[in-house]
Amino acid sequence: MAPLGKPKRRIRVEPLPEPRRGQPLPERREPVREPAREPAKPEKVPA
Amino acid sequence: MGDVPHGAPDAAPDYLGLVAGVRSWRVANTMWARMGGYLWSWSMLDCWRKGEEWKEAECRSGHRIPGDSCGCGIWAFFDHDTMTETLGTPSGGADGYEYVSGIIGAGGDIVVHELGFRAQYAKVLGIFSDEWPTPKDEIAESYNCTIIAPEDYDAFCVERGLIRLDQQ
Repeated sequence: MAPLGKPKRRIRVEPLPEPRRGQPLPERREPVREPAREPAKPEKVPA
Repeated sequence: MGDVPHGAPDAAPDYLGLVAGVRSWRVANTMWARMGGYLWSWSMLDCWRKGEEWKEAECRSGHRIPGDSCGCGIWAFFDHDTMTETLGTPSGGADGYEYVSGIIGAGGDIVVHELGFRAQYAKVLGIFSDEWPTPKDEIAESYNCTIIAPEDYDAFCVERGLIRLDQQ
């Protein structure tokens, strides 16, 4: 850090970049898909 | 943490507005490098990507950026004279690289040094005119900023409402 000289203090400056401000967005979740059901088979009627 | 006195607590910022700083970059010297962006760190390991407004400092050490006992963060000097007195005038290609210098606006956490600062975030605000035949027009267009003379730096900061940490 020699070119900049000795560190003196720490500060905080806003505004921050919009996408990075605050909490991160929640992860997008894929909708849960129900397993496909087989179509109901017609009941066999005895002849 | 560390040996640097802290500023305001996390809930309240010290300043509202960007901090002005001056730095120089190596200009991308290959087609591949230009695909990432024109402006690179002196080590050519870190690129200021075109199309991304903000540059975010990175560090593999896993601490708060910029670190108190680490050199990480985006470096900048307080003004053009301080930079040239410290680093000299870029050679304009004598060592195989070309350089440009310009103005950044910094935000987030900042460690203030005697001659400049290290910042968490920064964006390119201006490119300084100089005598070297670097593609400054293309660079300014790529980063959506203007080309100004180094002697106009003070007026530029006033016009843009930038904070000068050397004038506190």
